[in-house]
Amino acid sequence: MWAFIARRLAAAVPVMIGITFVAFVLIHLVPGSPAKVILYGSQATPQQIANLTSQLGLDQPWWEQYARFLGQLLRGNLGTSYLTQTSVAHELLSRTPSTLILTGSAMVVAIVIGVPLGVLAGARPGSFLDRAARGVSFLGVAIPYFFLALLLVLLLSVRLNWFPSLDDGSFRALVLPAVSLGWGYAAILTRLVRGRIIEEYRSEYVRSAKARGCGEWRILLRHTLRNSSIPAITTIGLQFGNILTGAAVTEVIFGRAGLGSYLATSITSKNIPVVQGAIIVIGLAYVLINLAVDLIVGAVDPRARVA
Amino acid sequence: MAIATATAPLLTGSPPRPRSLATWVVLAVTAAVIIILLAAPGLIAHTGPTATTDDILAPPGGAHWFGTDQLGRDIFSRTVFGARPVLVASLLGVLVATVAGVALGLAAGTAPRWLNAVLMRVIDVLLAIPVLMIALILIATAGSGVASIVIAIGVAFTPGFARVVEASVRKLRSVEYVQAARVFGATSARTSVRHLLPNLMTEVIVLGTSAVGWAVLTATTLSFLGLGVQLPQPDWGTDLAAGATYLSTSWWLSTFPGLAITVTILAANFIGDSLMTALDPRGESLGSGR
Amino acid sequence: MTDRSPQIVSRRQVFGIGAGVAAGIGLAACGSSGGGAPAASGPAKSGGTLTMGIASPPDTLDPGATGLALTLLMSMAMFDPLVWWLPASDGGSKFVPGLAESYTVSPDASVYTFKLRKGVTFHDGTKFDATAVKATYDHIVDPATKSKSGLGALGPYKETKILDPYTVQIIFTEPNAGFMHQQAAGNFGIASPTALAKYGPTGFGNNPVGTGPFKFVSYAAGSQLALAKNPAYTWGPTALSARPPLLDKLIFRIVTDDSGRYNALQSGQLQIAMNLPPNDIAAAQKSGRFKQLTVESIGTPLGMPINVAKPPTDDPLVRQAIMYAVNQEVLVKQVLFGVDTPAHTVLTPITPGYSKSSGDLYSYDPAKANALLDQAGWKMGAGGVRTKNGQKLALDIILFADSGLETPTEFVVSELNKVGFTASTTVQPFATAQASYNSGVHNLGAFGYYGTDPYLLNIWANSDAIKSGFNWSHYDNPSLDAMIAKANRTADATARDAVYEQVCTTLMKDAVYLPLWNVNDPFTMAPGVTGLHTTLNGYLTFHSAGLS
Repeated sequence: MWAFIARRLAAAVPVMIGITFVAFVLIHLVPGSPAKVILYGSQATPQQIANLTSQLGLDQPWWEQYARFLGQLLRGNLGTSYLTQTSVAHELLSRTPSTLILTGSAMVVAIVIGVPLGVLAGARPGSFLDRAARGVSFLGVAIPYFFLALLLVLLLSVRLNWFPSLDDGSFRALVLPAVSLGWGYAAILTRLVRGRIIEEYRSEYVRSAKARGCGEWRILLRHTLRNSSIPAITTIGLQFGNILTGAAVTEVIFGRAGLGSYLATSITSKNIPVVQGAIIVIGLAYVLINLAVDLIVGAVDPRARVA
Repeated sequence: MAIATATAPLLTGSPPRPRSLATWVVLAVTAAVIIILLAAPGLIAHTGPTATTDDILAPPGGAHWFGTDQLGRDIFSRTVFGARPVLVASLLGVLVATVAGVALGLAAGTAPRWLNAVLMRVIDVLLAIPVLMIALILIATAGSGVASIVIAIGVAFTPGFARVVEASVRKLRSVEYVQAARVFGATSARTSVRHLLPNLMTEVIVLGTSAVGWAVLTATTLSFLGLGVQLPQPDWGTDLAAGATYLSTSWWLSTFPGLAITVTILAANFIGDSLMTALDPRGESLGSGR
Repeated sequence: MTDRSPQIVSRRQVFGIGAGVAAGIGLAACGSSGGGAPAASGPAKSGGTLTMGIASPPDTLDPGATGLALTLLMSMAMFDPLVWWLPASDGGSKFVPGLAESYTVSPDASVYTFKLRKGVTFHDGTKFDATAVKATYDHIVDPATKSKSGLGALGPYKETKILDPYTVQIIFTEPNAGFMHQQAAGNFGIASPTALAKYGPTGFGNNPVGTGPFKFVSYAAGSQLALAKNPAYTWGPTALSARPPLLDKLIFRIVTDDSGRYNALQSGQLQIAMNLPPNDIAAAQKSGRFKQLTVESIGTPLGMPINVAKPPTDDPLVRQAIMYAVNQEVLVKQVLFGVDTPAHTVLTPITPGYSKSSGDLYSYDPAKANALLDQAGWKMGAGGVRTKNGQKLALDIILFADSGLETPTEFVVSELNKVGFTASTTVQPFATAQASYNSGVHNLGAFGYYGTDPYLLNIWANSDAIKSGFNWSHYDNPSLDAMIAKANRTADATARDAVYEQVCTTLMKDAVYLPLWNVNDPFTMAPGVTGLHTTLNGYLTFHSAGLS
């Protein structure tokens, strides 16, 4: 078990280094001068612009800039935002909880809606309930979440005033964003669980349990949930990139100050330290989540514990 | 892998069914519609998508089936013409990702241990970067438009494909006849092409077709954010976003593009499912997801 | 994609392309100058919380360091200037005592002496006197502060001298006639020297301490700024309110998405929504449920710089044809729902130095445009596009995301099409667009600039700003540079205005800028909001704001 973890961690190190390099390269590819972006709209003279450019170290050759960036990173410093002069770590940290809460609740919505629907559908395949559940899930995957979000806000917030349209820190404000983001994943889970239930229903131990007259449903559910948890967890783990994108869009629509929208603004204004810091943090999160997924899968199903 | 398991088949474990007439009809009609939308949208729409009129914000009905927008343009026409960038971006994007993913996966799967490790780490790095970031940076450097979205989707989906292909290749390589071929002196490359590739075909097709739905969603999300085709050219995502502020007063601006996207994803998933049921009913090609 | 006045950050704005993003970064073109009259009358209750939705986040809360006019709108609630610039009852404007009871200007406009008010305290209890003024101005020029707007606006600053505890002199190395307008602009809100010392030059931006009617409570990055009433505030100008504010709490909520802002106004989460898209403003007015307050902009109106260095716009006849071909009145009425006013010259009507005559040089006259193009040798060809020597009369238009010019540009293009131009429009993220502008690959761009003094023209019309500044017209005219410098050295207001009239006329004659509309900052509010005042440099003040 520990050897497994150690191997995984060792594999993660070169990935992290690769990510820092990619982070550096990507943002520097963007044309434009951050100094000019920062000073647009102020009464800045060209001299001021030039001063700021060298203050930010942007007139040095790229390898020097990369070396400086790495050095800072190793000392735990993610740099300072060009725009606000605050540390990138602080800026990212202050916005992370909102994003985590949003994606977490979306996942909760996905599970709470998706799993029962899947069970209902799989219990009586071919029935009206099954077709209805499948229809709902089909639709859930197909409706773009940003469209769904706009519709939900229009109907449930503006017209009916049941929910706030902006984040005010309350639980109620979380409902609409979580639902619009999570419904698509709920649909995926529905189909997954439904398939498993049907498959498991035909399996030996369920049939023998049925023959013996004891609770086939209890066994069915237990096996189903256990066996579909692997693909479900791996799905969610590998959907990481998509989830973050979805979260970013949802954050903007619902006025939540999270990582996604912040990252996007920083890219377009060439706020180099923020983008680099964000890519690294996201990369790290990705590596950790993958590790966690591997561990969970390995714990649930020892056969999957591959090198 | 994520994309594949995400679109798990409706029925697992049942024997291959003969494709019903209904399925054939639907597939044929869909293919025809796609071709028309790509090649000659003017056949369906009777006015141009960028022609402004004085009939501003007219509700659906009469001459304008879907109504008009804030510059008097016909929304039905814009919805029809707006299919093209979306379809091109998603289909091409998936194609690019499939080709690149297969190549990368083959290379990694047939490579010596150390090279395999390096390539898999590269794939990991690529997977760690969200597609949004890739797209944003691409757009900031190369400019917005369909090409950038194609590249963004290609780059974003490739590592996932590569992973699945690599795993399958490793599995296949241990199969006896491949080893036998190598005993007889076949080189690695020949082995790849002659023996591995045909066996991967099914899996690749299934993978590709089930990814189209996601590609459509990604493409329209990116153009919703303004990273795609620029106004006044029609595009579902762009028009959806442009109509958002009019939602409470002139709902038709956003709703029809939104419905178009929904229908398209539905169709893509349906086709993907049918193909999967026909070609690989037990979902073997989906792998264990790792 | 989305058309709206600038500073409206929509989800597209956040994502940098198309309908706007470039959110909040340096888009200081916001400020509008006040119309003066209070937004509404009616008995206002004491207490309550007023929440206003704004379109983009501040970069810092330190007015001396910020580069965004939007930040100044918020900091006006926390800081006071030495002298206010407010509308006069006769429709003109006047300087009104703030933290300074009186002031004198040396004949050559290089020394400004202020006599300070007594009995004022900062939010942290520090007494206000000359040391605070000196600390504030030194802070702005301190390189460690990294001041963006304030430093440039201060100009040729030499030093601040304390003559006695309540008399201070601000001295410039050269005549700086624009200073009185500048210092009223909010960048120079007086900061507590204790806080400046305690938090440091950049830390102060997270812990702002001033003398204003509201004091800083908290700032959740990207989400909201919360302020609370300052009960000790009795030194406000009478025109705004000389008493402590009515409101208990004032909250600025950042909602970058336009629809989100309007939705929140409708559902009651916001009492005021700033910069809604024109169609939502029209809808709000039609519904009768909301009031509208518009604050006129000050500075250079929104428009399109015309690149004088790239064909075909390198030909003055072609540029002038563009000026005659576009109907700003129809643009404002049709595309902007009448929320803003059409602009015809390089300064908005409220800006000091504005000259109506420079705006009268061109009018909507497509026949004239056609004649000019004929004269320039561009013959009308098939398909309605003019050609010359086998070349089409084609324009490359580059906009930056969130400039608010997307749909208006479509309108401009259709106007230009009518006289034989063809054009292709690209929207780029802000940083990329700037790079494009400086390298001159565009024929028309997007631009707008906030500034309380006409000296702002120096920022974008001076030839030294072509390579790496904001002169996106690539206009190189040394005699104009000299004219602007001369204007800023002229102490007498009338004489100065005359020179600026020359400057504006020259710029318009050479057709380096196509003005489109004067950005008005629209504030859409719930009917219960009362007591809002506006200043001439575009701020909304909450000194006597209340909820009834």
